[in-house]
Amino acid sequence: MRKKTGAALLSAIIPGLGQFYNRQWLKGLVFLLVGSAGIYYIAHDLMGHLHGLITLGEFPSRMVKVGKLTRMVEGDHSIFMMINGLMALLALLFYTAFHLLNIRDAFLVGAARERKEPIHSFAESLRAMGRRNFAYLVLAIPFVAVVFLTILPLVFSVLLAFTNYADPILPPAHLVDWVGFGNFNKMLSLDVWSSTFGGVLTWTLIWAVIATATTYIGGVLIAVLIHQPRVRCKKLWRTLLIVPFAIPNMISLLVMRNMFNNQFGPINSYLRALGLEGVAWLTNPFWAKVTVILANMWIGIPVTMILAFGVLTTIPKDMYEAAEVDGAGSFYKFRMITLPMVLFATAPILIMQFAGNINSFNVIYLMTNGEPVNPNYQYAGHTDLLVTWLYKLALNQSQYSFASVIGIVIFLMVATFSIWSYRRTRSFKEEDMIA
Amino acid sequence: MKLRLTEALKTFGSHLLLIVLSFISLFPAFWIIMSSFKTGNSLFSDSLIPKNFTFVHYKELFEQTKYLLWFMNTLKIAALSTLLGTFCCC
Repeated sequence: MRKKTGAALLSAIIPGLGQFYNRQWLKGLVFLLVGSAGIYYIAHDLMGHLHGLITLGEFPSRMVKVGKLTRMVEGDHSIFMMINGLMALLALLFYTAFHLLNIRDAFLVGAARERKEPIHSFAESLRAMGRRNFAYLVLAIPFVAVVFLTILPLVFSVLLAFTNYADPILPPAHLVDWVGFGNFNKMLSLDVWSSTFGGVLTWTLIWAVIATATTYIGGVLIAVLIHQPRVRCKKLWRTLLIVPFAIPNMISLLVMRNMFNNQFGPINSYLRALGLEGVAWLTNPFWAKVTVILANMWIGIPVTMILAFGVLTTIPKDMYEAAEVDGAGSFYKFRMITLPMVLFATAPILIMQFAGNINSFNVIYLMTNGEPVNPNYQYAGHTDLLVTWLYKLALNQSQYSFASVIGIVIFLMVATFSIWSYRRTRSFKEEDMIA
Repeated sequence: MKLRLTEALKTFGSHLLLIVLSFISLFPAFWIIMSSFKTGNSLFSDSLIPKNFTFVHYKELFEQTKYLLWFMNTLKIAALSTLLGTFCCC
């Protein structure tokens, strides 16, 4: 038999054996130790956890008769079993990667032996690894950390969407089970869920578009307004208008909530003093939506304003002078010079703001908490976005599986939109327009 | 002559607009500052200028909590994460 196939086969059966066959004793010993530890661990521990991941527990909490007494026996905790199972799965993947590398190594060394090349000693192998694969060696630790600390929780929360983990089925009293796409089906076809989902999704999209547009346009316009040559004390205006940015959202939103209060709020009392009837800012479904958008403008405009300032100072003055010589008015100058330059520089940020507004938790939660309540909705109010609904489902109602479904929907929406539009922006296509 | 009048009007309009906008942006901020001088524990109230001026909340903040420690912690985390975020992830 040819040496490379033989070595590879031997290594496939038991890690390290192919290396022994290639007369790399120390390397073979290391591989053998790692491999046998891995296989022992898989057989002893991981299989049980993997079984748990598939079944999600077999015994609920129950009363067991011990002699004359009946005692409560803790059942399987499906959620912990799921996390353990996932960790086992990832460990298994890591082991598989090691096993494949071990086969590949045996194969390559075997091939080198067929070509009558001298084989490396253990020290030489180590040195070669440090030289050729240094990047992988350094990246290995962060990679393992990312897999277990970032990817694992993500996969876990995605998997929850495919279980029936929702009140009243909560471990350890009850066992959670896999239900496939059942939750997605309910979300789309069961009337109570689908009407809420449709309504909240529509409002989320409307909110994201309006919130992004108002803050962006408002910010750019204010920046342009201050940037006019005729305006005095530019620094003063800039400072005054940036103040909302410096106040923690939570505080300013709570104060706003007080200011917009229907009965005692200052805004309504000023309106009444002017002889107008106050507006039901927070209790009327339509006005509540207007109120959150106004509050969001107050918070969001300064951010865009700062960005727009940065861009405005980079636009060369001679462009405007040339436009004036050609007889362009101020609107035309704005339309043909300022706007394209600002849009070009801030397009990626605009997209990020849109994506961020879909998930704008603070404004809605602190300002209205999703209220006024909509009686036709399942645990949601008129101003609830998908995120705040998700929060209510998971933390107030313990409907984890449905919350996870919404999380997946939000992720798909934001991710596809971001990728699609980012690839279309000019700053992505022509990276060097300004530079 | 007419051109100078429109120019003056535009300047006046711009400044007026800026004053209104600044008022809107500062009003809630001013409300927050005023709330800190009000007696009682609530942000909710119906008047802008407090009826009874008090510094008791400031006194409580520095005497009864470890505010300075919290503030330094915030500062450290903000500075470190800015530094690390800028130099490690580019």
